[in-house]
Amino acid sequence: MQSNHVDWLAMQANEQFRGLVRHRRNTIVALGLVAALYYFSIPALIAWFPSFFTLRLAPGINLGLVFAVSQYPFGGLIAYVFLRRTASIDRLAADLLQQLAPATAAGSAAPAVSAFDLGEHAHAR
Amino acid sequence: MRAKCSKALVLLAGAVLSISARAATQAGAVIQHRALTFAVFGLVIASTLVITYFASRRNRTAGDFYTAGGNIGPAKNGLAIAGDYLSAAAFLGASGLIALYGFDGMIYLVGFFAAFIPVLLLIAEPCRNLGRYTLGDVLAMRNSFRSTKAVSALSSVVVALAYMIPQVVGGAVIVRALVGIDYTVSVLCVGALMLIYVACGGMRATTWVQVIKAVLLIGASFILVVLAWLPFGFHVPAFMQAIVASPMVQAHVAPMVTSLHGDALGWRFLEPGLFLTKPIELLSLGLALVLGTAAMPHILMRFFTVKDARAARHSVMWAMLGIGACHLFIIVIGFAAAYYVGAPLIASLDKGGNLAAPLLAQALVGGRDSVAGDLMLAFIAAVAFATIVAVVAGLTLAAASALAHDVYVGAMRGGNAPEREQVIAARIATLIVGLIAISVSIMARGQNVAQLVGLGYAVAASANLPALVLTLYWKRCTTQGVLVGIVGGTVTAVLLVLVSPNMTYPAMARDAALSRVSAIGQRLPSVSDAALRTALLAEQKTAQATADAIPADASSMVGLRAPLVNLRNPGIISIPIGFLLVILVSLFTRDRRAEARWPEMVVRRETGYGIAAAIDH
Repeated sequence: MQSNHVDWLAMQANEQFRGLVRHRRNTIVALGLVAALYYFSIPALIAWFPSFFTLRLAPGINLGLVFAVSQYPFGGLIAYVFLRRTASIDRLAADLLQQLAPATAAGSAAPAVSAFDLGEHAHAR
Repeated sequence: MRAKCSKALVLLAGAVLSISARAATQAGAVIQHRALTFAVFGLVIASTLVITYFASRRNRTAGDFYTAGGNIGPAKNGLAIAGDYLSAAAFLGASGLIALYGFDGMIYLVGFFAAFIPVLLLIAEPCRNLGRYTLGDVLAMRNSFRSTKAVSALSSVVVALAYMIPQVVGGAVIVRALVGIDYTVSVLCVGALMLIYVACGGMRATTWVQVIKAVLLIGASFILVVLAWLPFGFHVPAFMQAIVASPMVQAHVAPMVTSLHGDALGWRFLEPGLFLTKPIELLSLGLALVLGTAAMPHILMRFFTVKDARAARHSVMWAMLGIGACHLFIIVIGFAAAYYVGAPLIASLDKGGNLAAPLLAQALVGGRDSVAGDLMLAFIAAVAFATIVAVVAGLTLAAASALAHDVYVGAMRGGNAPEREQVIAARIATLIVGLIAISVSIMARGQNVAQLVGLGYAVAASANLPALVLTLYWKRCTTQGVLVGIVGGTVTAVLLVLVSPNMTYPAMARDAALSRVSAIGQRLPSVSDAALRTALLAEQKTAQATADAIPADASSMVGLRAPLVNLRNPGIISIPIGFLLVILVSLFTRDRRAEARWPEMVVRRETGYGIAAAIDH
């Protein structure tokens, strides 16, 4: 079922490609874990340390309010870090495609033409 | 076709406005100056219809209809995602919850924002790299084409309808309360507008409607925040301290926490536990929100409208910016409504608190019966109406694309249908989805359909997400696992809601009424005050009448006398079941096609290889 033009297995086995996959996976796992911990600490703290939310910091403002509102800038920070990290991954991917595409899709103007496109999906491209 | 569409658009638009105006006869609406209200509503609707007219002239191919040609910029797409996602539940529902329950309403809202982290990290980029129009396209990349398309369409339609009907019903109830339009007419107006936007304008018009709505909603919320903070010189602690010291807030909290007095009651309003009393319920809700959003078909569909993965990522960033800003404004609006309007008035007009934001708008600019107050209320009501219509249009497009592209073109025609036939199929599917939504919404009059929102998220998180994530990231995933996971996840979530406390249990209501009769009977001999005795006797009579009206053997829709599962949000059970089903069935089956396509999928997922062809519709 492999493509007529593209050797997907060779591309997948390419060391630079494997590095790219590893880089992205590590970024996603690290940021995902941090984000999950920060968000799900709300129900966890309510269940086990409810007094955390009642600590008064200023007139009309307690730690719970600050912590809940902080979810927004924290989410924004996670997104910003992800965009920065993936910008470098994009450059790696572009380099990789330039190296691999001519070799794997020689003579093919549309490297995406594959089993996926030539089979039941012929209509889809 | 374009001429017909334009003509239909003009006729329907005229009908919507004239029927609405004539139907606004009900007394007791919050807005008194109706002409003013309809002028504001008319302006908002007319501006979206003009855009739809121009958009309808550019819908030539299926790609135009489903994804606006795949060339929407990230900022515009991000705002459209915000417009698609910021539902009436967020603007009206969450501000009401904050006005009635303080901190717990905030927590409810935060989950809707946190949900975009998984969308950004796991879904946006691979979906753009691999998909074309629908969730079914991404799943069919590796899995069996026809069966995957059919099953994924089923869950997409269930999710879209489950989310859409409460929007239409809730919107109709609110519009009726605010401007006095009859419920059925209001549903018909929402339905007619969504059909005009989607059937005529496709994704282009839907995107513009969502962008306009997002800008209007964020702008209107910002104006309310400015007006609310103005008397406090924009000093946030002074505003919050005023809430703590507010006699209205303290009087509202007092019955919920009998042991506190004075400012302690005000502080209690800013602490957890007035609404979300069970942490396990909060965790389950959080899981469904955070994981469900990432597999909502109308959100996924928006990533196919941009040119590449980078644009998809930046779309999410823009969406988070818009949604985050709007949420922060909504938090202030909720607290301001508690301070300026007061929970008793808000709850007296709608026990769920859905009118908090419109009432605040009226209170901040002149109050009830003033022209300025009614103008502001009319503007906020029109924004709420646009909010509902924009969300419903996005959901209709997602459900229609699942039916037309996945079921008709994919599963029935094996993927081979001429371009013109695909566009016609998409328009017919839009009509079918719209008619189903309108009919069910009219039949649901007076019913509590709010639990359907939770069901929509639960199905998306339990059926769509496991199938999508494991197809994308797990080599051993098989077609059989995906099919069983989607069907099993959907059925589990639906069953858990059917046996949950969300349903009506007449036997429990009867038992509660009889207990009240008995309790009052025991108390009466010791009551000497005549007035209290009269009140208790009246209450006992009402409770007895309630009990008598319910047959002794009455049961819930599925024949239960009491809930089997004591969870309103089934996510914490149904999501692990969804993942387990895909994993276990995949481990015990073999799918050579899925294995063979794994290398291709990984390369495309990571690099966007071939995406130029993917957007060349």
